[in-house]
Amino acid sequence: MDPTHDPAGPSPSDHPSPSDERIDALARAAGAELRRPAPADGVARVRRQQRRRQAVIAGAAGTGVLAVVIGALVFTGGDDRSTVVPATEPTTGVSVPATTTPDETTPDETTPGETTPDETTPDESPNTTPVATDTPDTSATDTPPTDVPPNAAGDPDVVYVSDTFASFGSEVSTVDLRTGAVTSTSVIDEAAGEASRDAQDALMGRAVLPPTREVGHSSGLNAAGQDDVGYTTIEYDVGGITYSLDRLPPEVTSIDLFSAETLGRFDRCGQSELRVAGAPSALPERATALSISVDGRWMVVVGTDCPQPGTLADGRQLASDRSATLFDATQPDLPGRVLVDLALDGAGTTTFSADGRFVAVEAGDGLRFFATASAGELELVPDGCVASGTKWSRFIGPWIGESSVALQLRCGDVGHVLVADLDSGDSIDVEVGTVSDFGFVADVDFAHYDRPGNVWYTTCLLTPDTDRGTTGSCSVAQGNGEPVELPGALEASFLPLGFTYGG
Amino acid sequence: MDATLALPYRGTDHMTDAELTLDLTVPFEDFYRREYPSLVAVATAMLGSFESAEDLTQDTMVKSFVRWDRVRRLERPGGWAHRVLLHACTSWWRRRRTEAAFLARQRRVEPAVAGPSPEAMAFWGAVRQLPERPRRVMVLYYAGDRSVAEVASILDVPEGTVRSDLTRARAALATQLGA
Repeated sequence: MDPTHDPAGPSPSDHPSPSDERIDALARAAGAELRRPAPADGVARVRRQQRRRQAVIAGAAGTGVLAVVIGALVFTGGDDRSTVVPATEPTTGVSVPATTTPDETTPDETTPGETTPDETTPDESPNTTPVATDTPDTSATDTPPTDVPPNAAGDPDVVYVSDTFASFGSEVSTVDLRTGAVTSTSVIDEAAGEASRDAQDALMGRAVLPPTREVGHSSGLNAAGQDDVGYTTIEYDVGGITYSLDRLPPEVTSIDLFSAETLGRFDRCGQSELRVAGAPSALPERATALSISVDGRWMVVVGTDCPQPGTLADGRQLASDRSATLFDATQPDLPGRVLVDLALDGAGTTTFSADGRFVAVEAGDGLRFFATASAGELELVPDGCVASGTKWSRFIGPWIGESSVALQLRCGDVGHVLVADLDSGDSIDVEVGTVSDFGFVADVDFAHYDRPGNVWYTTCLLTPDTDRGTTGSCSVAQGNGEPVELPGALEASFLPLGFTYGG
Repeated sequence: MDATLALPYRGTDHMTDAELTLDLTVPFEDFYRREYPSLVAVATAMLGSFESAEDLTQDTMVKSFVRWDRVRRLERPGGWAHRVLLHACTSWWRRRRTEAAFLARQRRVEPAVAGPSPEAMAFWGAVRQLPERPRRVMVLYYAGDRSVAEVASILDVPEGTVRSDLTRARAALATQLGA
């Protein structure tokens, strides 16, 4: 060990205990085992990597300016404008680390200080007051970037289309995105259905931590005239802490139908006990839903204090108002922060960005977005617009890539596709046209996403038809490029068609 | 590169590009060899993977080299590199947890890399269960072989905080490991 290595702080009594000395010796030995000499070719490798970085930067500069808007997202939804400051800006002293790599796109000109290296500081403990981020940014532009680097993730080859809502026995075709030609047509069979389900399954588990264990139970009681209703115990193991909650099956829409007495574990609001093992907890005692980010850091609990039914003087409906509250899953004893009070029909479905830095909550008035470190709300959706996820969002939420969202906006009777990188502030907002009451469905290509300007997406505007029930007008496009029509299609996707969860 | 080559320092204004490059390169070599063992040890303790630790250490050294003209003038260039490395470790953990579900599905087998003893890795596995700051203090002090003053500088906390974190962390580990 370094002879100048001063000893660790002495115990309060200046007489370290035997166990303290043992741990000290163990730690010194364990530390020495990890230290290895520098490789002989290490400096040469550093210089080679540095030259490669310079080549990448030169190449990017040669293809045009990277319009990475750092500081704001600007949307034009009709006459409305809203701006948002990406969560990379510090709020109340909490900094969110940037996931972009300045070396690649922005030659570094900053001077490393003694206390602040070029990389921003990691998250601090989430003990800050939620801050709404609605500061307009004068540096923003609504001009879409004209020169966007080639898609680093490649491009899709085909899009799957169907002239009906694809299901077992119907036809599906593949269309070559380069030529627009139909390359194959087949009838959806079991294999095709399996392929469709597998493709959707591959997207799952990106936006919420899957349960560690799920145990099914029968209620064991069969009240007269009622089916026996089972429930599921969901458990999550997160860094030595176990969270568990009982959940009712989706078809149980009203606890009153089965009575709390029949099921035993649930209150009249459909909540069960939220159990925490392995750490002290400040979580509510009961909840209806629990979602944890894939990195195991953040957790949203949906619940209510479940008072007796009725209406309060301020108009709130009792036993129906629920809230979605954000907690640190690694420190459940820290107080939570309420993200949103859910309206009567707010599902409270919660999903997280893949990097865990952002969370989306399905409230009664549409999707709402928050930064997990600060619990500050991001104003992505212009006034007058309602946001929902794209085609497969029921499984993964509105997330694409590490920290981007793909949304369908309904602004009056005009539809938009909005894809935004919440980290960089880069975004595209494409108006897809006038939409009927049937709305429209958009799908984005998850497999080849690197930035909003390169996103591939399909849109199908649905209209009622007295003969066929529904007709569609579908197209495929990339970024702000011209859409290519998909004649005759009612459904279009980058995933194989043929299976839909829930039928 | 001859690491023993030394130029008498005369400032750089009058130096040719070749001389300037040499003047910058030789000290970086010394920096690289001096700091590498500590950086890779800190990264291994933080990540639990020697292979990933080597990657992050190399990335940190590249960042140091890119900014070498400024980094070398800092009072503690090594402290700056350690801070950069800790940030990279934090980012690594975030990506790793996101990948975990896909790794299981893809059944990817990581290549076996000769590394520290199981006892050492078990110790550092226990250290990784500590709260964030005591964890970093333990890793920097014992794996990185940094002094209390250096640890305090890297983490931007008082030296007393470092000492108390070390004491508490050792006590917690003694309980956990049954020492």
